[in-house]
Amino acid sequence: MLDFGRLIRDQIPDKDGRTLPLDLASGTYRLRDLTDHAAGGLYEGKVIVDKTYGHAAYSCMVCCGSEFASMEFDPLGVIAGGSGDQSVMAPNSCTGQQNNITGDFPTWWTDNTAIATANKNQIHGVGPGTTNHHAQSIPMYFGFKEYASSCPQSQQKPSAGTNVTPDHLVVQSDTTSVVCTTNQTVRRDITYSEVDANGKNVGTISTEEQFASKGTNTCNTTIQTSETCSPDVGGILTDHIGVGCNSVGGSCGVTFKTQKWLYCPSGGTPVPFATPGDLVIQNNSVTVGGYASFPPGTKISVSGITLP
Amino acid sequence: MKAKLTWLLLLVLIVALGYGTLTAQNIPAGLGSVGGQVVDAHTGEPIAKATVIAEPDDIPAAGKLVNTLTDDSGRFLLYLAPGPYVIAGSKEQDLYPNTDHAAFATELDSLPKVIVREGRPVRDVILRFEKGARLNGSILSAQTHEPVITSRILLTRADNTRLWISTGPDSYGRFAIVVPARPFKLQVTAPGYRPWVFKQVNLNGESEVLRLSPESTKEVLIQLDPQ
Repeated sequence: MLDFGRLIRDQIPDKDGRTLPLDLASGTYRLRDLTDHAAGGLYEGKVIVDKTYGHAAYSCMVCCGSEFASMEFDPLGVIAGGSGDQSVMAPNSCTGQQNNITGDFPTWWTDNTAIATANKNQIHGVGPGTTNHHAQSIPMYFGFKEYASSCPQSQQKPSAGTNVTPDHLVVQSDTTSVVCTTNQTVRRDITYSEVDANGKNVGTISTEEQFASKGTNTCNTTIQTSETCSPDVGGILTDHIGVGCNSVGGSCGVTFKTQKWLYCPSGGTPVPFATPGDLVIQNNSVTVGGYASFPPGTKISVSGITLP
Repeated sequence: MKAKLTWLLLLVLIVALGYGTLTAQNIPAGLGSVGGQVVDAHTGEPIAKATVIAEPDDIPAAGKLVNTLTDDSGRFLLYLAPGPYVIAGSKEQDLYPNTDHAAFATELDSLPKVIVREGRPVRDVILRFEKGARLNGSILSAQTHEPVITSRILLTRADNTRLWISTGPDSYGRFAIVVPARPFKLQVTAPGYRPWVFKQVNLNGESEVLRLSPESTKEVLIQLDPQ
């Protein structure tokens, strides 16, 4: 019960000490449900205050709510073995202000729990892959600004994609051997395990490599790289690096700048997850990120190399 | 009897035609295929679950090499971009060394070479694997007895010193390398330590040559002295 007449007549202050003017005869008001502001429990209307009799005459009510609830991140990228927070966002139909209404969505789930699971709005990456996650709201008013005597309640179910990627590479072995005896040309074979945030092998996935640039090869050989997606059985990737049997005789080589390994989701855009760095490939030596060899356990993440 | 023979011939024809059609249809666009079998060089027995690798012969790789596993009858099929390849492989758990490393190929010239053409299969490539031996070891600091994971193990073929392979131990300082039954020299180096060289005394005196018999295992404890 709201008695405007008493508020004016008795000059009752609000929590900030402000009072309504004594000569107030009409105006508009806005009521807000402080316990449920994000759900759109915001009403406004017009009131006529009869100063003589001290009562307010109700004019009309407007329904305000969230329109078009949608996920903040679509797709949401999550690392296998890690988690990412999702939010449900929606503009308010009366103010137009974008609100985070995640709290009104208590129910969350994913389509494939082998790829990702949901704990409220926290999406946990289980294994590399692509799936969808969904949320369902409590019953609440969704819709346009509307003058009505009642505001119908409904539930919304926004969805978004989930891309779970491997976290990094871990060196299993690193071998350099002669491949061509004529010029003692060597090749370096680095075997990596593709792992999640906890260092657990992620199983068979598809990957490709990329380079920022490729220098001139003074060995007169054409080097074949893996810049298209192909599967790595058992989450094991062996990178074979060499200039091959060069025909120029003496010292020669090439530099490939900033080697990156990318995870290839099915039907999606490849995502970088490991950056070994520059490949300096000479006929008699190969360095990766400045190292001629990696001890086992060396971690290659998207930000670079970490020795054990 | 004649009817049976006719049916048998018809069946053979259908299977042969079907095989040809299936092989041609299965080759992805822009690629050719290489198929064959991996067998033991001495017994001729097929080797199942062996790894087969196609190494571009004139185009060096800086990336993933195409590889596959043989089926239960030792057969394999690889789809490859057109070009010349050397076909190599291994099955280290059964002591067949990785012939993709020149130092581990018993005879370099014995590795099959093929030329792949787009849309065309290369059939009946035979890989003959020879059993080698297992060289196991631990590399520790002589001072602290802690594993030296930054160490490098250098194996050089004593019968052809131009062939060598360098690798590292695991995070416990251990290594397990399947080597061919050929003479090798074994050296270990590590930053901050003096180089270690394998030596043994035999009837002819001290020797640095290590030669392991097929299907044998040798354990080596390597203790590195700080410089």
